[in-house]
Amino acid sequence: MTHTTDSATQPEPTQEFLGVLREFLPALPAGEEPAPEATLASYGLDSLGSISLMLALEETLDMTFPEERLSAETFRTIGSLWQTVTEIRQAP
Amino acid sequence: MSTTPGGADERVRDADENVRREAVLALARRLSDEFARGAAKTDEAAAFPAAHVQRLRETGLLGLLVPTAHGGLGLGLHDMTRVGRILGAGCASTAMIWAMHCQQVATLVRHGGEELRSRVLPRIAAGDCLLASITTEAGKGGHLLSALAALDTDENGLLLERDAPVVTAGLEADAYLVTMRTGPDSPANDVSLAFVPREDAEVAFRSGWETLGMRGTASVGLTLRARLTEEHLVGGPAGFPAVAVRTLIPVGHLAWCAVWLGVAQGALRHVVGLLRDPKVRRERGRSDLASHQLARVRLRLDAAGAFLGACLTEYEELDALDSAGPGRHSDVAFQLHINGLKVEVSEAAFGAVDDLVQIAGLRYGYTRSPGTPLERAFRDLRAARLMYSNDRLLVANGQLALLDREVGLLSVDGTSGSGHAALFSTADGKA
Ligand SMILES: Cc1cc2nc3c(=O)[nH]c(=O)nc-3n(C[C@H](O)[C@H](O)[C@H](O)COP(=O)(O)OP(=O)(O)OC[C@H]3O[C@@H](n4cnc5c(N)ncnc54)[C@H](O)[C@@H]3O)c2cc1C
Repeated sequence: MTHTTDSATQPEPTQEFLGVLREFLPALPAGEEPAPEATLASYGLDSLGSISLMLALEETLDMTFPEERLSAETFRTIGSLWQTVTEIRQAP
Repeated sequence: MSTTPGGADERVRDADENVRREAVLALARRLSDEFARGAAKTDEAAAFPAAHVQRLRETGLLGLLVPTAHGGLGLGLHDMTRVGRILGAGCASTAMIWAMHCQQVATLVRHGGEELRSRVLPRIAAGDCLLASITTEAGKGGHLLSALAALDTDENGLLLERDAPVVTAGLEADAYLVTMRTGPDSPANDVSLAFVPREDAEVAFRSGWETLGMRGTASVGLTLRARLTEEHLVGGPAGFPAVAVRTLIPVGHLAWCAVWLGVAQGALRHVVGLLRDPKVRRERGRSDLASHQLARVRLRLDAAGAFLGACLTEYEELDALDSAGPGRHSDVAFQLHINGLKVEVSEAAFGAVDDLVQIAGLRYGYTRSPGTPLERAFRDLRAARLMYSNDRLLVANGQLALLDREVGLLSVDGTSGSGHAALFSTADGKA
């Protein structure tokens, strides 16, 4: 399977993913959908929050982030995080 | 002074620096003895040690980290920790006031804009500008990387209004570095660091400082109101996370730890002196238990000192790798070490003095009298775990430890980091 880098071809983020995400975005108003291109920082995610978020995603989605995916780039936006998650889950 | 690299110039510069260093260490020892004589009174009155701080001003020690080009002593963090330890052994409160000041100076030196630096650094070097720190805020407590009060903008520039419940040397400082939410619409993690000169601010006293220890720090509660321009934002708008990771947190931890270690070292020196006193020895008789206890205290402080030294080395090596951005300072391994340092030294120094009180006993350890600084050291060092709570740091480090699968333990030659990138870069963490 080839990894796509074009987020337009990505499936939409699942409710499960968004549900976990929501918990870690204190500045996201209740009931509002997060915008895929908005930075996670703009929704109030801080450094420690990113670690908690990563661990929660691993638990809920039963996956493991490989070391090389733990970058600022991965945790920049909702889109980049979702893309990383799908790529990791698609990897053989 | 010339910074031409290479050859003779460099040797002259290094020689110069060594001469300055030796002079500064000798000065610090003299001052420490002087401060030791005033420490009991400062503690008893819970009064700002004005005379001590005046000495720091007139001897140039406020400018220890200010580059020579701006009139300062141009020394580095190793020297800062040496002096911090020496002063800590004399008067914990005075030393902490100086350490907090140095933390702010390091931040200004590295992250201040050119104009701000050239205006303020010479004043610091001349002893005219004592800096204080405002990060704690009602409602968020000690959480460093967030802020509630927001900077406001109107046609006249920026408006800063903020409560500041705990400010070391708050009433005596000549300027403050203040964390603020960047704008009214910014989330709490979008933080800027503002330089606020006292003369441009309305500073109102809100609450006193009547505490168990560190009483001379006069860490009063204030409210602050000031008009600023963008030039006052150290590290630029929303620049605080990068500034904190790169400089403010590590230098703060290094400076505080140096002081705490110095306080404990002074206490140990006192007890060693006591146990060498023939009269006391005859009184107490020979005791393997006392030897055992003393060895443990010494061991604990040596280990804490080695940890401090290794973190300093690691910090300076990261600095040398990258002189501009936040770079490798957000590496998981380094964060684990520099947070762990604060936790470990705050516990070790307090634990050591607790044991020393036990060794010295009721009369020489627990009793308050001018000749026995142990009970004061005990009270002063109790603040160390609270001063940016160890609990917060341990929660953070517990999470970070899960990320460092390689377990890149700290080693003295700085080859510790397991080398993988930081999870969060503070440089580009913003929209
Ligand atoms: C001597 C001294 C000098 C100081 N000088 C200054 C100064 O100059 N400027 C300044 O701004 N501040 C200063 N402070 C304040 C200091 O840095 C801390 O912000 C303050 O001590 C925190 O107060 P707190 O413990 O009441 O609040 P919090 O930090 O809110 O914590 C309260 C307690 O709750 C627990 N806790 C809270 N949050 C968490 C968490 N996320 N994880 C785990 N446990 C948590 C901890 O047990 C903590 O001890 C000074 C403090 C001292 C003791």
